[in-house]
Amino acid sequence: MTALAAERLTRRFGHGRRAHTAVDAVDVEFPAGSRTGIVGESGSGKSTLGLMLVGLDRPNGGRVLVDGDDLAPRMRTQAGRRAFRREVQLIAQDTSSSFDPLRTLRDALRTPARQLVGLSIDEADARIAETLGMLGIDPAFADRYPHEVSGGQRQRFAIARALVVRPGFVVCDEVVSALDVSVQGQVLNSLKRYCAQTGAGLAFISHGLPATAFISDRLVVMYRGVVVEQGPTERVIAEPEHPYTRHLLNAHRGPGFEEHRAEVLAGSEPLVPASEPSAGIAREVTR
Amino acid sequence: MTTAAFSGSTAAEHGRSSATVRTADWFRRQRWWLLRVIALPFQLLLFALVAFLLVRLIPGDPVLTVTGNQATDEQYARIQEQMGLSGSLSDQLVAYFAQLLRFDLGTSLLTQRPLLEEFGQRLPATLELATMALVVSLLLVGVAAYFAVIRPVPVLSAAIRGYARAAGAIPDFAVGVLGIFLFYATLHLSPAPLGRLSPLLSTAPTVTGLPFVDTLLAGDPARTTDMLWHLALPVGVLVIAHSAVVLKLLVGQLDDELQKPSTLFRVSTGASHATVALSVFRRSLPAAVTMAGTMFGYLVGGAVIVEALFAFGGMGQYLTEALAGADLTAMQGFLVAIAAVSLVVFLVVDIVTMLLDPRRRPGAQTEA
Amino acid sequence: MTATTEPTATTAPTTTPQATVTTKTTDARPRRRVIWWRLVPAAVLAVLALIGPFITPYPATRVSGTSGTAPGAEYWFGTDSTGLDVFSQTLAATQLNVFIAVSVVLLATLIGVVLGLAIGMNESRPGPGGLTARGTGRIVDFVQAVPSVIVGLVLVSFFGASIGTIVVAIAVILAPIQVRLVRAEVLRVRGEAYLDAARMAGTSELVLTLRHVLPNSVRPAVANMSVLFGVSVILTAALGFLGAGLPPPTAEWGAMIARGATDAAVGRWWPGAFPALALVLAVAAVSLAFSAFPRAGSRR
Repeated sequence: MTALAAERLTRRFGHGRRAHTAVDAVDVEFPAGSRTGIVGESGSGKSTLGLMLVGLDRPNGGRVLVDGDDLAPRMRTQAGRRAFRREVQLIAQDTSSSFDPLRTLRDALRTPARQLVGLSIDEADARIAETLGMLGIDPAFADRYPHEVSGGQRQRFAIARALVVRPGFVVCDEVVSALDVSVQGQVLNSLKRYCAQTGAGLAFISHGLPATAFISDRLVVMYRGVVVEQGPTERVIAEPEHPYTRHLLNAHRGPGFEEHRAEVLAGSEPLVPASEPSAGIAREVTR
Repeated sequence: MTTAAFSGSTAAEHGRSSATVRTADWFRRQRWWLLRVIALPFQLLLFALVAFLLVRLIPGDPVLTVTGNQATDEQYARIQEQMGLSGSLSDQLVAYFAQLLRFDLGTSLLTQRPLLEEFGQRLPATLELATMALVVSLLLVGVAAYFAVIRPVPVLSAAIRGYARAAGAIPDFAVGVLGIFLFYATLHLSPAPLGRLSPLLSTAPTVTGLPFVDTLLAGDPARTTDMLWHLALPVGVLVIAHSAVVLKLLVGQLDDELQKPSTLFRVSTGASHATVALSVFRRSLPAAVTMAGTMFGYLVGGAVIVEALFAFGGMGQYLTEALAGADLTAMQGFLVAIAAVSLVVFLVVDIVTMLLDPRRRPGAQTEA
Repeated sequence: MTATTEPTATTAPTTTPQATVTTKTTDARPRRRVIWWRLVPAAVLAVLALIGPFITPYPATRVSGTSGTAPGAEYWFGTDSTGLDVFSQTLAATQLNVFIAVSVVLLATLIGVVLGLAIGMNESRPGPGGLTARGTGRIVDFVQAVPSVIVGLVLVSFFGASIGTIVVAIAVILAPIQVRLVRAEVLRVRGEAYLDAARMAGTSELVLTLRHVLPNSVRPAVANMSVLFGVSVILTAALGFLGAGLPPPTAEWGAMIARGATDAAVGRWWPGAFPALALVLAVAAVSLAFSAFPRAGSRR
């Protein structure tokens, strides 16, 4: 159970005339156990906000608060960083580079278990098996190299890598955007279930409104580095206050929105996740 | 050229027309090459500093290395003074840079002549040789790349690619020895490897310091032909030994460019073969210019070797003598001189590539 | 199985990593197995380098026949103008030339990896660390700007012609090539998502650099070692040729070719031709050996 908060958080890139403010004095609270969706178009600063929340990017102004304490001093020591990362984890968008191509997936999962939780190799492997089971991943995949599994599998491993330390707060950055609709549902369900079971908080960053609406109980709408609207998900969707939010909703409500939403929800139906047939993986690998 | 158009547009856009704004804008626009030019003297000083420190790093007593053990105290002191090794390190450094700023590279220990004078007489000949080889080589590389990639001729293309693959593995001195054996000793096509001119001909009066240009200027056809005859083999050796590097790069670059969507697009729009070839060549140009600059460096090194081999009496022989006579001052001066030449060449290369491709200009990066 | 003898320091899987292959290769698909026969010439070279000096038919550094004897049954490669047996010299020199070249390649690559990592990881950083990294990067560029033969010549003239000096001098000259290769790869790898993931897993920057950045950045530099081998053999010989090599009568290919130049001018081709041939064959053997291993297409 960890609470995060952004306080007047600001991030600028470049200097002088080329300077560009990606995140501009953003105030958002992420109470313990809450699931917050952050939506906005690309370039709205939502990913930069996410990076600052997990301490991978340093703000030019403002603070990140962890359970009420300033994050910056904690990040100065190795011990402080590790303690923080045991509590707050990031799941980034899947790219072919989310895992070191020269190391097995198990290797990537062992690192947080050993360095952050302090488990021995055997304990770490037990924890990994448990986590993979929780996410419905075939443990046999763990000994493969990243390029030997499909993008969907890789993304689930990325989630497993974050959850293996049992964090109290998870920041997800576009975790389902690159996935097939059916896989999206499974991934979203796994995340939602983890939060429900452990009471962990969630910040779900995405440009896809249906998925965000599905998983979050609060919505934060960002536009050009500024939070234009935030509130309970149902309220924001039903009665958007800011014109940009309305614009965003309309864009999604175009032809196909309801179908898409239905599809996502339908894809999430099998709560016992189906293990992927290996033929399908082979096909995806060769692609 | 861009200044007029640019300042006009800013004035229109912002409604400002003050001279200071325009000057600042002009500087911002021209920064990429201005900074590059301004950096040159500093780079040179850095190199000079490295040369200075290197001499101080020599183990043992470099003065003794030069004088041998029999030197009298007076001789020792004189050599030490001449090598710039007397006094404290800071004194030495100040004296060294003061000397350099007067364009004084020191005095040769062997010949007792100012190094600048010595290099002034010999270096231009070496650079001329390297330049001739560069020009010939670039022409041949262009043609070879055309027949290997753009319009492949079956056997020739494979031969050219095979040669390109040998890049960096062709020793110029070995090619030189082979050339002398083949064309002079066996076939008697080449003159004896004993200089730029046949012994009976007199050297043309020095005007530019570049032997071939001077010979041309003197306007004696017999002498010009004789020099060309003497130069053919050395230049040929340099070309054969050093072209492969640029050829390899150009062929690789052209292969890549041919695969790119923009080329396929051009072909699909029905552009003529020549147009496509031209555009592909143009896009491969910046890389090739960079490579030509690097190649000039190799060629200067190669020219030194070839001069020694063909007894041209240029830098090559001077260096081997300085080496044999442990003339450390000459070596130090030479390092600085050759660094100056190389840095100027790289400056030109940088500016040309930046002209050809704005993306290469510093500060031109669009997004962080 | 097959990958065990791969000379790379990485524990690479036999299949090539995806990220590096996709951008390049005009070939249909990357090769996965080692082509053993391509290692044979290099193995022969290694054996000759080891035992060469002990199996020469004549002493390599002492006069053993009439000067200028043509190749024949008694003197396979003939004798040079001083009466030394060319075959014995060529064979004996293998050890020295190969030793120097291998040392140079290893040293240059070591410098290249260390500096390339240090520069690549720090150059965009603000403060003194970044400044130092950028400054070092510029100096590396400068060293590369000056013709290598000349830098080698000057260094050897300063520090005396010994094996150690020659190795260090040539390694210093060639290291910038490796630095650039490693740095370019580091800059590519530095943006990869798995580094942030490793940071999230509590990995310190140093461990991160060694465990993730290093193995993912060395491939081009390792592949380039075959080119460097050739260049360093040639540079050693070029120094020997210009008189900056080891003092005579040390058997060294470059010095032999230099002495052979005068012979060549009077029609005696063998004193220069055989060491030159040995040089070319050695370079080719190593280059062939490197091509035996599977690799993701490297650009140069």
